[in-house]
Formats: sequence, structure tokens, C-alpha cells
Amino acid sequence: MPEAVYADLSRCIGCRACELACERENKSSRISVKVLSGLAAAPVSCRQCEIPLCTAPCPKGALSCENGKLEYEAENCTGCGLCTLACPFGTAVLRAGIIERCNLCPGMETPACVATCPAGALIYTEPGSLGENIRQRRAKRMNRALEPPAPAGRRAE
Amino acid sequence: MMKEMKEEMQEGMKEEMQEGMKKEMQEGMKEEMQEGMKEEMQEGMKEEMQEGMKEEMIRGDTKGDTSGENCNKKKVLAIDAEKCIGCRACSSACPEGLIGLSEEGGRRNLKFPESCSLDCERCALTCPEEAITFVSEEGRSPAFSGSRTLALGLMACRKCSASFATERELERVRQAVSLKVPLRPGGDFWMELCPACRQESFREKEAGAILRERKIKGNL
Repeated sequence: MPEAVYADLSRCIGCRACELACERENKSSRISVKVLSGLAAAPVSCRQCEIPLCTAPCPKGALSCENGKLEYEAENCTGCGLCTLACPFGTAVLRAGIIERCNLCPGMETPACVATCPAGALIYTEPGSLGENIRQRRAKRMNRALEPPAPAGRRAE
Repeated sequence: MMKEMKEEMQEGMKEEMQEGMKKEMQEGMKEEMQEGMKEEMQEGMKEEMQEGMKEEMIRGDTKGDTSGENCNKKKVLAIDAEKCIGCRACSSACPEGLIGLSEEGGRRNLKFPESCSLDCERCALTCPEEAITFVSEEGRSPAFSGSRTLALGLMACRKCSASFATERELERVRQAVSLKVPLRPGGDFWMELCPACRQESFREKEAGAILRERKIKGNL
């Protein structure tokens, strides 16, 4: 499975720092954060699908997927926008005749949004190890809960 | 305009060759020059257009009388109304913006000119359905005469009811997608949503659990 940017919604504080970081890096933001019912903030960006549907209708092969890595060649892109209609998550956007979607900031170790997230809500990883992360974190929480409570006035951690 | 361009191109090529390209390359280039002058020209055009759009236009205008006529004689636009899906690629590709776009009354109207003064064929090259062809003026059928307007039905988003794509576009996307992944009945509900609403419904689904949790906490 390809690596992608995942969000831990329980940590997201909706500060939109990731949007700004992406805009700084890519001239336009490819991640969008919105607050739902004033209770939870949820960032959404390209899911880096294993079988990307956006490549399916591309007439000139500008969007292609090889070895689980999505490739985009702007030269071949005709700007027909069919990929934006094929993306089930609506994360591919046509701007000025060129398709814009998260390319995980090539040339950077971690994508700008992940590097900048002050709440540690964005994770750049394979989905497999993501499950591991969550499970480990939950196990830690469980352990803490089962431990005898810390003396008053002082909190563990 | 064409002559000027050709000369420029040839000069440019010569210089490049003299600068010391390999012999193989030279042969290749010559062949390309002879065989695919048009393609080369188009590449050249693109660069020049990007660099000096305005200058180019002015030059085109001043020489318009003669070169325009020549082009008109050479070829006219022929649109295949059955093939066109109304994706607007041609309209954004046209350097002179001759392909008119408008949306009203649940229809997307594309207005194609009869012919154009530029010698670029970019709209035909960019069309994903190959619905645009350039035919010689003598050879064209009467059906293609005059400027043509196509009106294509638009789909309205199921959630926000804004029209976001033509029916044909979606049909094409549905076909292409179903070739790649088998779509279960009900598994293609997102196809009827506009991209913004798709993102929104995904967001809501993602945040569903945490929203419920926090609502309960808030009530306590």
C-alpha cells in the first residue's frame, strides 16, 4: 500500500497550519480543513489510493499509476478535468487548466503539512503501520488507566 | 506569420547543431524537420506564445489580412456533436479564446468558431474524445458550415443541486472507472455528487465517530 498523509481527528485542533504550509510549498493548498458542528476539525487531502480512480478517464495518460505511486505529467495534461470527476473524495482540483492534487511534497522527507502540524494530528505513513500506531497508542492509554492513580497535584506523563 | 516562424525555427536549429550536437542527433533532427515540421512548429508556437503572447497577437493582427485568408482556405473546424462531451479542454487550450462557453438553464453551451486565424490545431490535439478535426474547406460537409453551438445537458449535484458536469462527461467517467474497479450497486453514489460535496461527505464520514463521542461528552 502506498504511503499517504493520514489525520488523527482526535488530535486535530483545526488551526489550518497545514493549509498554509501546503500553500507555501505548492502555491495553492491541496489540503483543506473544516470544522464540523463546532466540535471536530477534519483535514482532507488526496488519499493516494492503491487503485487510483482519477487515472481511469485520463485521455492522454497524464495521470498514471505505477508500482503504487501516482505520477502526474503536466505536459500531457489537457485540462479536461475528467479526473476531478472520477475522484470519489473530490480532492483533485483543476486550477488554471492544470490538475492539482497532493504529491506528498517530492524532495522533502516529510510533506510540509505533516512537518508543520503543531498538534501532531497528521501522520505520513503506510496505512498498515497506521493501524499499529493507533493500536499502540490505545494500549498505552489502557495501561495508564489501569495503573494506580498518581499522587494528587502531580500528573504522570 | 508561418514563414517567419519557420525561419526562426530553422535558424535556431542550425545554431544548436553547430554548437556541437552529435551526428546521430543531426540526422534525427533533419528527419524530424522534414517529416514533422508541423509538430515542431507547434512546440515552437507554444513557447513563443507563452513568452510573448501579446507581441504574437499584434504581429498576427498586422499580417492578418493575408495569412488569415490563407488559413481559412486551408482548413476549417469540424465538430463531431456526437463525440463531444463538453469537457471544456478545447476552450482552455485555445490561445485566442475563440471557443465560447456558457452555462444556463441546465445546459452547457459551447460555441465553436467556423475557423481561426492561428495555425495551431491545439483544440483538436487536446480534445479527449477527438471530436474536433480540421478539414479542408472544399472537403467539408455542409453540416459543418458556419459557427456551431453545442448544448449539452448538465448534471445537478444530489446534495447541493449545483450543476457540476455534463451528463456525457459523467457517463464517460463511469465507464472508465467501472473498467478499473467493479462498481457495486450503491457503491457509486459519489458519482452524483459534485467534487466539493464528495469531499464534504467524506469529511463527515471520517469525523462521524469523534463527533458522536464529543457530543456525548458535551452533554454530560
